[in-house]
Amino acid sequence: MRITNAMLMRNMMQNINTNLGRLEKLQRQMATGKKIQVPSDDPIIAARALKLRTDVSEIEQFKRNVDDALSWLETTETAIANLGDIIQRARELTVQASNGTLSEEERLSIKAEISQLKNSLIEIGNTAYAGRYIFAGFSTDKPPFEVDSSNPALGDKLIYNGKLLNPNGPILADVDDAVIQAYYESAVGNTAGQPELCMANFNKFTTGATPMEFSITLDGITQTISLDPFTTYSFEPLAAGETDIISALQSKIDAAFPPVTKTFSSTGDVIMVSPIKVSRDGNRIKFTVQEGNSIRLNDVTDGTLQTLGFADGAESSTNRKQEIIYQIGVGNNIKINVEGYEIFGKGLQGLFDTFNKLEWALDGKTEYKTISVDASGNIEVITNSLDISALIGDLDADFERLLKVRADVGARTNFVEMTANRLVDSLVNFTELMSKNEDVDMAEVIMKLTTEENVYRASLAAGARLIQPTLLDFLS
Amino acid sequence: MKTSFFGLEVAVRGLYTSRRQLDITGHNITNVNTPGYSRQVGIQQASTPLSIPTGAGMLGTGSDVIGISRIRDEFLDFKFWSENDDYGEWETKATLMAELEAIFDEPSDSGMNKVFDDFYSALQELSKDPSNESIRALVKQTGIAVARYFNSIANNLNKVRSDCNNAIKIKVEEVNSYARQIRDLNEQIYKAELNGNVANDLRDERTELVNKLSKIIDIEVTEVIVNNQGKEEKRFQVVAGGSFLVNHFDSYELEVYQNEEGMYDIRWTSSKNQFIPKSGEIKGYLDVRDGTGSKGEYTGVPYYINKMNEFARTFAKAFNEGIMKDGTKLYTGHAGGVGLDGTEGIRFFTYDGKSSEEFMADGYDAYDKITAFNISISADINDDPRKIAAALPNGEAGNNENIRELLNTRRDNRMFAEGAPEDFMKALVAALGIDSQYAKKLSSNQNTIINQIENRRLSVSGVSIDEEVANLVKFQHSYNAAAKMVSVMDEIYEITIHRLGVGGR
Repeated sequence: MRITNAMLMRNMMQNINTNLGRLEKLQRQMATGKKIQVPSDDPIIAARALKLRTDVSEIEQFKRNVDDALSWLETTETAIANLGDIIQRARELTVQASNGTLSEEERLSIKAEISQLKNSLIEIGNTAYAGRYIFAGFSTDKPPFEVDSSNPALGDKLIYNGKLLNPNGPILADVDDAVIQAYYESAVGNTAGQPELCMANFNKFTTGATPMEFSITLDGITQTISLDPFTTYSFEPLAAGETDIISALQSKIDAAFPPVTKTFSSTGDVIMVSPIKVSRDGNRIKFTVQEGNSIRLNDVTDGTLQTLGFADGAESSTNRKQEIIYQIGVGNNIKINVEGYEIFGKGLQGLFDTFNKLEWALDGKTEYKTISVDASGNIEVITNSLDISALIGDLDADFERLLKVRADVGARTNFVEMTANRLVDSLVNFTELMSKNEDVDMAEVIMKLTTEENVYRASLAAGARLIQPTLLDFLS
Repeated sequence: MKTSFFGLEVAVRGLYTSRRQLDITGHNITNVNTPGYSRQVGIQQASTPLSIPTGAGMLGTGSDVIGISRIRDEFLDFKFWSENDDYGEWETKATLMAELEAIFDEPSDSGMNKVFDDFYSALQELSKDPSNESIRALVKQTGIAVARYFNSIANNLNKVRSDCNNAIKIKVEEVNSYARQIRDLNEQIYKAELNGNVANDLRDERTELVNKLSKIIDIEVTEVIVNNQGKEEKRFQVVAGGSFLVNHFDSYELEVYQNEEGMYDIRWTSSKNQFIPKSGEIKGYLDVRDGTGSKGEYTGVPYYINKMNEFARTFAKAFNEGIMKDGTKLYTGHAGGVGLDGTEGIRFFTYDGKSSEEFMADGYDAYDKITAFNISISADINDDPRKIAAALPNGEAGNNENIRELLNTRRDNRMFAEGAPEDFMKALVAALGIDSQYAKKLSSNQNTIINQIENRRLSVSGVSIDEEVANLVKFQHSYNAAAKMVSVMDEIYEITIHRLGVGGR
């Protein structure tokens, strides 16, 4: 092959360029510390890098979640421990009070301390962590526990999240049965744990000629509810010509799902219990059903439910727990909260009820009443005897319940701590994987760089020798 | 009878011949760096001899340079032209794909990962404290960042499209300019060669123009010999896309016009027939500008825009409604949750900043209107982050049930056919990487082929200084020798004229 000068130049330039290109790539790798700059350098590394970055960032987030979960659980644990101390102290006092005869002074001072402890129960029940009430279920913005003393005859009633925690709990024995009946009627539909539906805000509206209808399914039975035409529905206070939406809905629903009649045996009265109770919660309409039931709302004519502030297909679940759950791993969720009723007890015998009874017993009361529903649905008021030494057993039962919750919280704390350790390991592993995937091996790059530098120098030197001489140089 | 000055005559011819050869050598040397130049050689021949009447044979009369020809292997030119268009196409694509890679900017700490990580991190924080309004504001801001990410990618991709479009117009003008220049050269070469000469330098110039043209579009070049009124003449033709671009003394122009999309298409100015290039730089630009990746089309910018549209649309639908790509509803979605203010039915993502109500006026069909260009967070969320639906009914302040569901969308393999959002992006980036790698590889392969042909061309036609200097020396010597010849003849005439017959005086 004939070799010409232009060819030499061209080839030399091309080779120097290629060498320089490799050198540049290595230099860039060294400067950035990354194997690839753009996906086309190595699409597989690029794709893997994307996934690994997500993994690493997620683990970092999970670590933050674990820290927050631990703080919450620790606050819970402290609160429960404090409650335990209160119960223990109350037990000591009860034992003291039940042993031998007490002077009037001693009895009064014990009673004062018990009342003090009773207040502390509420205080601890309203423990907040970072401004959020930890025992309030989802309603973290409001203190969950308050004491309703509005009816002194009935004694203090514990309210949990705005509702009676134990409507069937102990009532002072000297209360008139008629008062108890009235209390019972008000407690229906106002008991903690009853399923309810409460949706968006309601605004005043006027119906047209076309019927506005929706249907309610209660335990498998569906009924259509029609709103009256040409009526302005509003909340109270009503302006002239307006209809109260709450009472209107209640009467229409009662017509569709007839109220159950129950005989109050002590007075002989018959009381009506609506299966669905309509009430107002701020600017919202609320449907409450009895525990164990659930309702579902469906639009019959489009938009009726929306006007009322409900979603089509909204459903109240039967026993929905208000569990606050944090994500601390992929598919790894941890419930971090304890709902107030778990430690205070729901039903006949609660922690607060024990303290009520303690106070009464120390007051010298020997009897208390409870409400009971028999098999045929009739309501009876039962009178029970009150003995201070028997209350030790009640306190032990309360403590037992508390211990169970505490053990559960402890177990959860352990699990979260274990997860925290695992997350640290995972973070190390994934960071290492990410580094292996996309970071360069510096030693290797430096070696390669040095080699390439030499190659580049050699190609330049060769080029310089190549270009210089022509025949002219040797002609004189 | 031999003339008296015959010897001098022969010597002078030697001088002329050497001078001519030296001129040619000089021309070669000065053009050693001229692109496209073919070295020239003088065709040297012994001049017509005289026959000696006595039958003693033929007497040589010296030498002549009867022509100057250029050394060119035209086969290599044709080969070059047939490969150069592919090189042009893939070089263009490689450059543009690298631009797309820069737009996606993956893997980096500012790409899709970062945006989505921030968004989901904010949601995680909100799941831990749903009533915290400053975290709600953070979710809103990171949500805006997600929408902006789509907007910016889409707009940048569109910019590449319009850049391609402008490039096409410029390249078409270049083609026209080359076609005109080739036509002009055809005329000059024709006229110069009427008397049978070869217009070496003009031909080199024309070859160089065709070299350049062959990179922009795919062309077929022929030089046909036609019989024109009993005389043979060469006609140079360039055919592009089945029509003449240059035919001897005529050149035909291409022009661009806007198609229904507002993009340039190319047609012949005279016939208005559409011109569709098969390869070359213009084809590269067209493919990247228009390639949707379906039906055998190149995976150009529209493919990536469509993918980003699909991403934005599907993600918005999954996040808002809990509806996956295949239409199954797996989650309550943002719309099914309850905001801190008790509102429901709020869509987190809409387009053009529409409120949920305006957006849902069309029902689920509204999602077909979401593109990567217009995706935004809804006016409701933008105006009041309390409307972020962290809760399920009944919407208590601490209820985080819906946010937890929304968090699951991040890892849900059912969201796209490709899997979770990360997987979708992963697949897209890998595809882009592979496409770009392929374009680079093809471009460099084609470059190697071109280089090899160019080397062979240079091997045949390039000027070798060594060779030319050797020629220089050679012809200098022959010149010197011829000059010596003159001086010898001079001496002979000296003797003949001045010394002969002096004895009689």
